[in-house]
Amino acid sequence: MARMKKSFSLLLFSLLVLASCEGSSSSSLSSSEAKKYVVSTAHDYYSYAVTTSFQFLREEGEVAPSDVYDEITSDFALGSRYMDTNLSYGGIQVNAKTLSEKEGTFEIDKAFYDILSFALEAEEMTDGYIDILSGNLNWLWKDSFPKDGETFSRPTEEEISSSILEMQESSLTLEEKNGKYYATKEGSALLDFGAIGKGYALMRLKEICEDNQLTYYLINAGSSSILVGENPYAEDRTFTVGVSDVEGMKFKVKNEAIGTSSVTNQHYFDVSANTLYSHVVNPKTGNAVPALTTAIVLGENAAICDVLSTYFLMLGESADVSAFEEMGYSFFFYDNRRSDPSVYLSEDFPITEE
Amino acid sequence: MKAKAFLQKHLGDIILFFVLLFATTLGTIFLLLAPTSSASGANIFCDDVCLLYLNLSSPQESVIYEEERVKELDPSLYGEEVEAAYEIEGALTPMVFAISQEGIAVLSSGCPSQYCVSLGYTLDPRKPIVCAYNHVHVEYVGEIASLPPSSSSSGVDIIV
Repeated sequence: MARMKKSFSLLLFSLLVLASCEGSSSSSLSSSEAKKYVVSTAHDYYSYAVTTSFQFLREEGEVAPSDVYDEITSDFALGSRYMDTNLSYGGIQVNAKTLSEKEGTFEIDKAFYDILSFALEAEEMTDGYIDILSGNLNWLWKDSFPKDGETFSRPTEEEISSSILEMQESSLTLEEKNGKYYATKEGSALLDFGAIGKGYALMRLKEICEDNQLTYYLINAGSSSILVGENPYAEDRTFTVGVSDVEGMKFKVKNEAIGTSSVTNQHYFDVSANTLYSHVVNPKTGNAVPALTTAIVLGENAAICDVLSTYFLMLGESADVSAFEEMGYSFFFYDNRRSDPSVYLSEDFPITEE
Repeated sequence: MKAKAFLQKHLGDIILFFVLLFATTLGTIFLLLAPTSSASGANIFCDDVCLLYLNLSSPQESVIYEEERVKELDPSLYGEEVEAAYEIEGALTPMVFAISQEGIAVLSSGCPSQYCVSLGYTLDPRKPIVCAYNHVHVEYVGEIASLPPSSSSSGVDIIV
């Protein structure tokens, strides 16, 4: 009996030694544990590419608990399901697809109510230039961009006017009553969360990161909307950001959101007319010729960065940046069609010296 | 005499101790010297379902998980550089993925933006491959997934 006890103790000791060796040989940076490049969920907000990659989700050198990943993933996915104009989802009675296809008053979830509330605020902030009821007009232009050997067929003025009229004759209002939330949609306008979805998602994710005391993170919602905490690999804890449209340009950020609008991946250049058309369409004029080719906005609120990057790509320097700079946002505008393509750079934009 | 008596009394325990110590040492050496996987690959997900594993080191050893939704294609149809090609069923349209020496590319997709196609061949985790229209994304695994982005030669952590 005593011998058995000793043997068991020795065996246990051996197992502990083996286990500790396994633990010490694996790095906290291993791909399976740290999930530095986990692409957890990718869901569409508005029929266009959205990427989620949760990088550096670590807390003081330790991996964030798995339930934090789960919270972030489920929150992002849930937002997507509300804003998806293509599909309906179980458990969500009313989403963007419903409101796009039907008219009437619908009881909605609080989460969707909050998204729609922000969309209406964005419309007010941009004097109507960011309008979630502009889906018809946006699709009119997007469908005209040729694919696979097709020829470009520019929308006619009649088609554009008709889409604008459809939008103007439509409305979306929200109401909260007795703890319930309602959305009233009138008209045949399609919803489009193009300028809002990703930034809104990041704004929500930032709250989750802060609630969980996460310090080091980089959340990439498709290169055009990015949220960063601190960089654990850099001495100054900043992330170095390159700009694909501007060779050699780099800037450094930490604890900030980056909103980028660019024509690079979504545009058509009509050679015959020497005109560049983009996916960003002015809802008041129906014009798809952007004032800039790249607009980058830095600031605390990812949702506002997303909105403003689209707004300024559309209007360029004809829109006033000063009011937003006073709110703490900084801007970089670029237009590769001009002889001097650097259009505007805020004084405090953290560009690095080359 | 005392030592001899001790040895005689506890011989079995001593033998057992050294056997266990030897086994522990062997196990430790094995763990420390065992080759870690350096293969790079990528999982293709549609929603939360992994459809396909692309083996970037040996493309012919890629693995189809959902046979009803993935079809292996003849790579020679897509160019000399293509080593393997697969068509997958996304949420809304089919997509064609290819592997070459330069990485992974979406050769075609039915999505309106074609953002995923415009990325071309890439092995850069800083520019993840996603077609959100089709609810499809790529997750890198293995060595490529374990490199910190700041180790890149350009010194850029992310590209907008």
